[in-house]
Amino acid sequence: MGEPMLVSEKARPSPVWDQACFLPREEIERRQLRRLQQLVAYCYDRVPLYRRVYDDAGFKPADLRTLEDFRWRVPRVDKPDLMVDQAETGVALANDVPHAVATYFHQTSGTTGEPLREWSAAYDMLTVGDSWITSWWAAGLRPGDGVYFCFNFGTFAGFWTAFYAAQRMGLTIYSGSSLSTAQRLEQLQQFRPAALVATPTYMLRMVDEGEQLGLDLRDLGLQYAIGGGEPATATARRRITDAFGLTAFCDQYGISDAMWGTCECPTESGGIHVFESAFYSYSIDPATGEPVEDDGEVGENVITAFTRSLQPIVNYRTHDLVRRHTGHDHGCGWTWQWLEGSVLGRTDFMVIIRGTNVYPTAVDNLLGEVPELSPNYEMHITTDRGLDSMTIKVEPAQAMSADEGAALAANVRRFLHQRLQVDLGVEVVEPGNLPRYELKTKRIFDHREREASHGR
Amino acid sequence: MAVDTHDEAARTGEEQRLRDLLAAVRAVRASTESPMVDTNLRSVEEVLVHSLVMFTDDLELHPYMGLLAAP
Repeated sequence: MGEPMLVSEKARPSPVWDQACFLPREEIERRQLRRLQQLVAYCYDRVPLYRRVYDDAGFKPADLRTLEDFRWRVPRVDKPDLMVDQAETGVALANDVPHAVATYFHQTSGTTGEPLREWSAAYDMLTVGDSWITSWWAAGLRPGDGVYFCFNFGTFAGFWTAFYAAQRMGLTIYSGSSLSTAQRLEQLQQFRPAALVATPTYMLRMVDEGEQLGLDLRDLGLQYAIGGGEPATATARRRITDAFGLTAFCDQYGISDAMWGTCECPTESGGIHVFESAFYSYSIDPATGEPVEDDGEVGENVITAFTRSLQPIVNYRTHDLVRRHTGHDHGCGWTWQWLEGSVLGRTDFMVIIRGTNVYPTAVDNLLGEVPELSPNYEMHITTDRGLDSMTIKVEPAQAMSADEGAALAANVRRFLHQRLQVDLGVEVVEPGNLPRYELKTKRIFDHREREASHGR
Repeated sequence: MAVDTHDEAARTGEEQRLRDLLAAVRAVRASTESPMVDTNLRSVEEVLVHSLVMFTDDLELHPYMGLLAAP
């Protein structure tokens, strides 16, 4: 009996999952404009929320003639709009697509209030799945390779979408759900999958625990780490890649409200690509709402999903800060937009110190260059006489005296000042003093609102 | 053959093969009396339509988003 054809001989050598990543920019944008025009017309006719928002702004679908029109004239929606719609109607963004086609139900964590309920049709899930598979294929994963999920399957869509994608791609799926970290490490030794799926925070925890157990994680044979649920900072990527001896780290910037997904750049360019076959996105100044048109400028990511059928997401504010490049050349040849540094932070946590924006990821990258520090740190934002300030708590990698700690704090402060051109406070705490997290790391502590309310 | 650039002619060929297959799958679904055949082919149809969406902006292909077609 011959071997089963997990992947055809002609398709196997292709370095990319789909050639759409090489489409000329003008063709990408021509298609996007056509889809946006149809989508906006549909939403105006069939989605009450959009009808109301567009009418309030005096906007008509016929006004949309160019992508520039879309960026400047089409009203945007935000999470609170969806939550009000859900509270009033039971389903945010309900429209004429019959609910019977919903194959999947998930919801957001609801940590800041009521969860957003998310229904998805098969097509929605296939689309976000393609964004995962595009990254995996470009990194080197192929059908038949093993992938190990360190994920307790709950209501949050994140890794469910990766699970469905792995199934479709034909990977061998191992579920480490409900197992302890030690048990998962034991299974990795036994099954030797090619890839590991987890939040970067959890991967760091595995590295710590593996080292405590005396394991050489390079012996596990893992080649790929697939991160999601939170941005993989440069420091975390480096630590995880080195500890496991990985070939590639695949980061995923996902937004479940839109079933939005991105693709890791195959050249390890320090950024990710927008999956422009299925999404349109651009940046705005979060303060003024005006589109940011200059290539490489930082702005808030605003997204539209072409195949989010049950709950159409059009011109949706994410409050994520990105540095977007439409023109770029870092060797991959892909023409899709490139987000340098992935997600730089949240607009909610943007700190302006003496006129300079300070992005958490920029601080993270610099701390990663200080060999005396562990990967654990916290940023505390406060208000001092109406001005934002930030103090960073850092941990030395190894125990040191009080004098050595003070010298380290001074050195880190000087280093950050040189590189960022702003003065940030630095406090060195004892090793192991900062909390370790299971799923996602909390690094930013914003004390500004509390201070303001105390003053009222 | 490995590819590293956009090849419009090759993509046109791929697209046509998918369209032909989709038409065949829809024809079988329309005529079958077997729930097993119909259900399994529905999944195939979904994947085919999804694949075609990556080739074209003809959204009328999408069974649900077909509602988007201009009046």
